[in-house]
Amino acid sequence: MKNVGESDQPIPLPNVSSSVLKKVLEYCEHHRGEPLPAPDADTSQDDTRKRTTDISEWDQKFITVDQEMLFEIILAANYLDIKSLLDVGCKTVANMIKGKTPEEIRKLFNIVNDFTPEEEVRLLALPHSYHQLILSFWHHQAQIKKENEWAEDR
Amino acid sequence: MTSPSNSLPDQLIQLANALRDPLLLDSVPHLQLSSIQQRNRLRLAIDFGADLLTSLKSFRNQLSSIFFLPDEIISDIFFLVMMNDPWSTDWCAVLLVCRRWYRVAMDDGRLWAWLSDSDLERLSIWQMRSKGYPLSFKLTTTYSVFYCAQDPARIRSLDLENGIAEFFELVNALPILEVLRVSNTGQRQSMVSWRMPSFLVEGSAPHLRHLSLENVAFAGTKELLLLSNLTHLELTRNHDQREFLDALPSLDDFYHIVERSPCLQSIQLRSYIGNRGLEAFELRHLPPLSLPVLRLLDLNLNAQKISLLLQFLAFPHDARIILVVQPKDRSTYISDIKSLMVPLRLHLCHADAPILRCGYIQTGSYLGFSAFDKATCPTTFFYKDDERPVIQIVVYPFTQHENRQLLAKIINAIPLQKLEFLDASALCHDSTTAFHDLGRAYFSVQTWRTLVSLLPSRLTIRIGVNNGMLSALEGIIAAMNRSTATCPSGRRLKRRQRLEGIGSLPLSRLVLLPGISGLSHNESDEGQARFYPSLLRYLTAFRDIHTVLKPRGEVLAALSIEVTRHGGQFAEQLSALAGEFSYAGVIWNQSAGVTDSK
Repeated sequence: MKNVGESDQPIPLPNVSSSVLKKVLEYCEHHRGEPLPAPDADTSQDDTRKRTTDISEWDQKFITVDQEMLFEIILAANYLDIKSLLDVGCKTVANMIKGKTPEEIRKLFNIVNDFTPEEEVRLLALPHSYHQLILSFWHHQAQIKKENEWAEDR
Repeated sequence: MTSPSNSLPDQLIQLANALRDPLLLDSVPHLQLSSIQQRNRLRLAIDFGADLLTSLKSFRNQLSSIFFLPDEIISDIFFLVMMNDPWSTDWCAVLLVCRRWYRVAMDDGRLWAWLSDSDLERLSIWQMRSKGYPLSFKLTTTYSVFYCAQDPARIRSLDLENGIAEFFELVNALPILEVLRVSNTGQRQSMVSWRMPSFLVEGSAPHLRHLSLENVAFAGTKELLLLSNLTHLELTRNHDQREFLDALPSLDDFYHIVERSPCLQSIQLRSYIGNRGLEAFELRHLPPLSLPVLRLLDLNLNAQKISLLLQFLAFPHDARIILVVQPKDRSTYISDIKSLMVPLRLHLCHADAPILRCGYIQTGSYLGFSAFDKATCPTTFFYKDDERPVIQIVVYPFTQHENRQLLAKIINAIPLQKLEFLDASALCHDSTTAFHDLGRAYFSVQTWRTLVSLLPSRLTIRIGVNNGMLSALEGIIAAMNRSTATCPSGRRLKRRQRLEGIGSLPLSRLVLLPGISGLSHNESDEGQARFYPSLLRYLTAFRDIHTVLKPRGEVLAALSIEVTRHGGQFAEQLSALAGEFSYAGVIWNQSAGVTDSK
């Protein structure tokens, strides 16, 4: 956006809907005057420290929206190159994922398990440390199957 | 693993048409499968159908709103999930969600660049997947040290618990090293002596920014003094081994370390400053050192060393400060704390300092007070990085009298005029048990009276249903009774009198939690019932007190009881003694005699 400079001409934003733009403007208005993140932050150790999933109180309230809007905000922030907003959005999604099993994540985001049985067998061949995870995954699947069977019997 | 075909919509239409054909399934039992050719054709058709269904599932996923996000953003999200605990494999759950997430995770080398030797097989596989990204190692065995030393040019972060000497014998340069943590926390739990390799300070580790040493003493401090441009410095000693006292850097050494690293963002010093030349340092009156980006100052030293450090460090007023003040000499401890509070007060009472809204108090073998700039505080005293209080002070009183003296000194040094909430849930000990003899593991009525007199009025106090609560209420009522009849003394109290008039109202809201079981029988859940009649008695006394701020007959503004087994029996009586009463998250509607859900 900085290349555009000051202009009276309208700036087309074909990928951003008005409701999302309104939210983005609300965010920018609130954070006006705050220093921009350093451009080389990605490679520094500070980045490693900053890459925790803490979100300020106001940002948390701001980003408490439905999933569709959340992902639209992330896309808009990416398109408009608003790094701090992109960061808040990504942290929110990361917090939603943290500590969940694959099945819980699928349920949360309405994702279907599209692995073939062969691919699932291949995943089982991963190194030792995955075994616990995979076992809990299969246990979870078996539990669901059992519950479904029980529900069908009823 | 392939992504769904681009021509899928056409295939989808074909499949849908085929499935709609009512003759399709009817024809299956009548198929003549006598020839091998026919069977093979059918097998191929079924396999094709199965593949198509898998592709359809992936296509179905593209309708999920999270799939609108491009791969690089999904990858960033995975990185954030991974960074929550980079040494564990918990984040790998994302691999098993769907084919696209698996592909995205496998393609991002960053996710595989954090290597712990808890699983040696994993170490080599993950390193392969890391695709040339800078590596972070956490090594606990000497064997893995040899593995890690094979490619020192890729090491960005190194966490060494064992094999310190072996590792530094194998390498002579760490060109991209940013973080170095060396610790000795093994079974022997003793300090080890380490001569910092000269290459670390002679240009062969030019990016070193974060140095952390735990139970590792220097064979010599010469190299330490050559370190420069650090952003994080953590020096910790958990063991009081006298033979290493001379090996610790002196305050003078530390001054020169800080001088060479003006961009320090955090300093953590735990029992890691030696006593050499302390008096001489005090007399030198060195100019203060500016640390404009310091965010955390965490000191666990005696009061004299902390005072001197606070005098020569100039840092932002919103930086987090954690002070654990070790008693050096019991006879002078209180006066040492008093001297320490002078520079601390100068630092905290500043226009740029955050407004403190919430406090947390704890006592046991120590007295701890933390203040936060948030409306509520975390429920544990050991905070995560993002939960740190603005100021946390831990001191070691031996008697209730010392408790009161230290509380007065601490609270007068911290700007708590805007404090709204005090969490005293950690003060739960039963004063009738042996803890009473220690004289420090609980707050007596007098200590509570002193505490609430020092804090601003109209507080919300959160405390358990236990003897601690009874002491608190008695202390609060004593403070209210006292302030109606006595004139305030001291500059702070006189100022409060000017602002609020004589008479205090230390409390306006009370939040009660279940007493913590396991400490004593009386505080266990079963024993809690006996505390409610006393609570009713104190609330009645509160109602009947007359002060300038609270006329007689005015009840406590709000009382809230979180889930307890016996509170429900007393709900009706308690609701009559509180303006707003809630029990287990439900507001008690006094006039209607029923409960309303919040």
